[in-house]
Amino acid sequence: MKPIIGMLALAPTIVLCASVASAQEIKIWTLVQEGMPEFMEGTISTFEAANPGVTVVNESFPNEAYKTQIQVALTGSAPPDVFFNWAGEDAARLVRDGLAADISAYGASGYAKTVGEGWLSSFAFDGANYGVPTDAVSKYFYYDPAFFSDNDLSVPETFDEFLATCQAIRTIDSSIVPWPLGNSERWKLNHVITMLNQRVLGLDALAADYALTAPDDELFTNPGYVEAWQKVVDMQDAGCFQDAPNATSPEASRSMFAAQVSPMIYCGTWCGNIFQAEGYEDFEMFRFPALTDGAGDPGGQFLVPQGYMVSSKSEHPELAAAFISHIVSDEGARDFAEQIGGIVSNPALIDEVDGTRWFKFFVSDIATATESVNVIDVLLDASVANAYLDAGVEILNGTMTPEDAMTTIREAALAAKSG
Amino acid sequence: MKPTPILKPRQSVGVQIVQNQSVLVLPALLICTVFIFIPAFLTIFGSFYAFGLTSQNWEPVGFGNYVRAWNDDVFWIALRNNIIIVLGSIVLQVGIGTVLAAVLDRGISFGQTFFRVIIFMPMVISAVAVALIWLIILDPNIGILNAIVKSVGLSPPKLGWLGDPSISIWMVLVVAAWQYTGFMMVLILAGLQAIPNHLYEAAALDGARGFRAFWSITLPSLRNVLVVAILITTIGGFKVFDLIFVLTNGGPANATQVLGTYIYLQAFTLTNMGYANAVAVVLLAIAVFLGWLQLKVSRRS
Amino acid sequence: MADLTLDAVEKYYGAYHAIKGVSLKVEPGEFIVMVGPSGCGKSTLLRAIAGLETISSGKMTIGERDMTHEPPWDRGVAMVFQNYALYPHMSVRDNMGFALKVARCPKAEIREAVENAAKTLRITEHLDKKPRALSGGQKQRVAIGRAITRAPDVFLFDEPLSNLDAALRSQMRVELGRLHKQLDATMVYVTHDQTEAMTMASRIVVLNEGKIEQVGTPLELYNHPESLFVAGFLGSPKMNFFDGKIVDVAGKALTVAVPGMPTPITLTLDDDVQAPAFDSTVRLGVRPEAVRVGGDIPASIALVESLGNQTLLYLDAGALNCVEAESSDGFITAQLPSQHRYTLGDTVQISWSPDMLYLFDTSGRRLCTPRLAVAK
Repeated sequence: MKPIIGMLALAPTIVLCASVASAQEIKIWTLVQEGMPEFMEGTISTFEAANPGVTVVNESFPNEAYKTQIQVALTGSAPPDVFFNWAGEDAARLVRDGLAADISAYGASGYAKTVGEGWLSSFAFDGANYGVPTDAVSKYFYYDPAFFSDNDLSVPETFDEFLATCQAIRTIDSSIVPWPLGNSERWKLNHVITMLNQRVLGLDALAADYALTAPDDELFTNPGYVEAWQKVVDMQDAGCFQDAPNATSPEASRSMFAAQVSPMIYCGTWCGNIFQAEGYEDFEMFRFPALTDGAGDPGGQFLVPQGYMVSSKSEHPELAAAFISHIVSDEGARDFAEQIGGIVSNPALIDEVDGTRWFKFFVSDIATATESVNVIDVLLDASVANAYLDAGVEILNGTMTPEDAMTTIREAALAAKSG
Repeated sequence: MKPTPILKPRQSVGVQIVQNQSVLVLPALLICTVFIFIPAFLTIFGSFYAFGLTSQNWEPVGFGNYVRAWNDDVFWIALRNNIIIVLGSIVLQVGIGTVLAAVLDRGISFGQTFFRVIIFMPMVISAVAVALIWLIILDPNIGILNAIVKSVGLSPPKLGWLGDPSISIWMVLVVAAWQYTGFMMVLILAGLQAIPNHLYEAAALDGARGFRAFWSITLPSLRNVLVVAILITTIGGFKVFDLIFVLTNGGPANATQVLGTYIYLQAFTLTNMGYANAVAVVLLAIAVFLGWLQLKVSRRS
Repeated sequence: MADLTLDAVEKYYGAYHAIKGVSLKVEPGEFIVMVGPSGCGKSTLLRAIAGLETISSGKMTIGERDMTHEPPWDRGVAMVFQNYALYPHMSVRDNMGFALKVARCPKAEIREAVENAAKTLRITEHLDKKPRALSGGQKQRVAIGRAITRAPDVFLFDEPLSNLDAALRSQMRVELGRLHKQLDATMVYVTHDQTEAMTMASRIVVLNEGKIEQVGTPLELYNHPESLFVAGFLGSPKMNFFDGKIVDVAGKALTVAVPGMPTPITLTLDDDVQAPAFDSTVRLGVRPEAVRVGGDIPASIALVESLGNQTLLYLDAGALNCVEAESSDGFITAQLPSQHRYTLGDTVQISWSPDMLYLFDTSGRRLCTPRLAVAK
């Protein structure tokens, strides 16, 4: 008799423990980034204070390995509840493969109140929300205003003026590299061709090719693609880049600008803080130049939204969505902008942010952009994106002509479309 | 009255010993099964399907992935690069290793340990660190190699040591040689020092000296060591991944792609898991063949 | 066939003086055996002759040519090593013909030379085997064959039999002797085994601490050792030594008193040596075969070794203590011909046969040696 009584007495305790334990913990995966640890620490503590009994565990990963690691983790048995991702093809594939949770139901009471429809569309598929963008990264030309004024150079507004600027700098001193291009990881030039495609063809002309929905005989056949590549060759011929862009790392090219060895660089909105850390902050910025005869909107601006998604295997999707809503709440977005310097999706309290000079410039400038241009390797199917990345390397090396490049890309696109 | 069993206990002892022995290999067998046999089987199995890293359903394609490899230029480039690395490493690592070992064995009388440690040192650095060091050395803007080449009045390659597709694979060879030649040297040095001095003395009396002694005495005595060194280099040349992944990631435009990096690219970047499995099976077949060869040769010696 | 002359040869290893002024003339066709304890310099001397060690000073000639600083391959010498030093990757045939091949002799000539040597050594059926397929004795024959093929002026042997078992060793001893007669070649042979030295040598060179102690025919050395060292080194079982004092000198007659011996012993001084002073310490040597049963010295039997053709007794003679004895107990060794029955602990009376006694002074120089009919 005695043992049974003992067990009965214990039973409620066990149930209680189990229920508390299961409701308690969510895991979040973030990217290693300047300011991220501080931001996460703060936002987790306010979230935990508002939700007694909940623990949020933050694990962060470096950029290079993240794309692979998150895919492996999501297919595994213990994926994170909330995870960082870029908007685009990567996010779409996770949705197609059923690894991301539909969190539309938690929007009305949370993130949808603070983040606009336009922003939310970057993580929306077939009318359902699978994630919430926290911010976006953009790219600008940074330049050395002292060098420009000393040499009577003006900021180029059109592509032709830009080429002339390169040539002018080479005339001043042929050893100066006007624009160091660190393409050893292939994505630097990819960002450039992303913008050139938009400038030459316009987003509407690109959409069907990028989505592989164009008919086979039209897929990537628009001569504008060749023309866009030709602009890269033109820039190379104008002496804009250094001799060995494919052997130069992005870090090295940034350092060349930060050391004022080179007067220009096309770099992300995150670069300003890096230049500052390397001891140079007297730079100014200008947008990617317009094409006078291009079909694209000259007000189009490079913009890659990024944010958080919820795993379909999460045991607490509501809690996970609530945590994301917490990040994009007015206060959350303010802290995010202040501590990480991101162009946040919720600008309600942006005026309270004590940001850097360049942060304020980015926020106000992006607000005037007339369309946003997402990057090719995020939008395209992986094999077509890879063909684009490789073609860029070969064009810079002179081992492919723009026509050759588009032939291989078209082949990759046809193969991807059929398979 | 039962008859006293005389043989039975002995038999059972014997059986018991056999049972105990099989118990002893069980952990190793278990580890092999979990970490080698099951993954190898899954790889072979998966090579007959088309699926991505995150796909829920696998589509059977028969030998389709193998046909695709047969028709894939990059697959052949990768295989060719593996063979270049194997042959180049045999010449550089085993060749220079042999020369260095011979110099350390007979050529110099002082500082042997010092030189041996210095030359062996790169071996203990991880390939990733080696690659990062060489990335700095070979950098076209700030690298010391460019500075050295310029200072003697020559011009470095315009596209960079790792950016020029006709040079980059050779630079990979040089970096690999820098890392592994010391290991080969130590291996061959051990072989050299195992050759009894009497043989050289007998050869000296027989009139064989210098190159003749090296050719007739040293090389044949080193035969087994050299065969093992060449096999290690060959297998290493096919397995190479980390060094190239960090140094060039297969670039520029597949110029340094090898099977290892191509498998990674297909599996994780292009998410063609089934195809990556098929290429991995080809690599596995090559590795198994070479391993069998190594076993056979080492048994014979 | 050529003669070999060493003239005041010295060898230093840094400060270590390994060979101390060795001079020796080896006649053409002689079989010279160099013996001595470990570290006496015999192998070093042989390797210096071969050219495997440099000669620090002095001169060496073979035939008429000064070979002091010539490289090994130009000296016309062939060497057989203790551990054979056969090339493991070559067949027996290639091993034996290697020197001729290096010298670019015509193939037919090499073949003939190798096959003749193989016939001489009865290893023809092994010619196409690899060394690792051969027994120790066969390997040593191949090593000797390799030397023969070259037809050198001088053969050098560095303890060639010490890796073989006892039976093979005595067999090879006989064969080497036969080979020497057949080839009529000059041979220098190093060993630490005195049986090899006694049985094979035309002349023996006894080396000690880098110096030649004595050179002579085996029986000259056995009967008339110049020094205590040679007397003790040659002969098995070893000579018995007793310390004593000169108690009377009368012309050539020396009388020695040894503690423990009931009567003093009188010996005849050798012709060419100075008589020692009265009362000086001397060392008396008695070969084991000179010990006889029957006499006036009581001794108890400590150990008996019956060898069939002879019997060895180890005797405890109380106060009469053997110095430098094989057993450290100071027992006297007696070698009796044929078979005897003795029981341990029995006491026997012993004495010496007077014509088998030796006497040395304190510096180890010879004073008296037996006058035996066979000498000289």
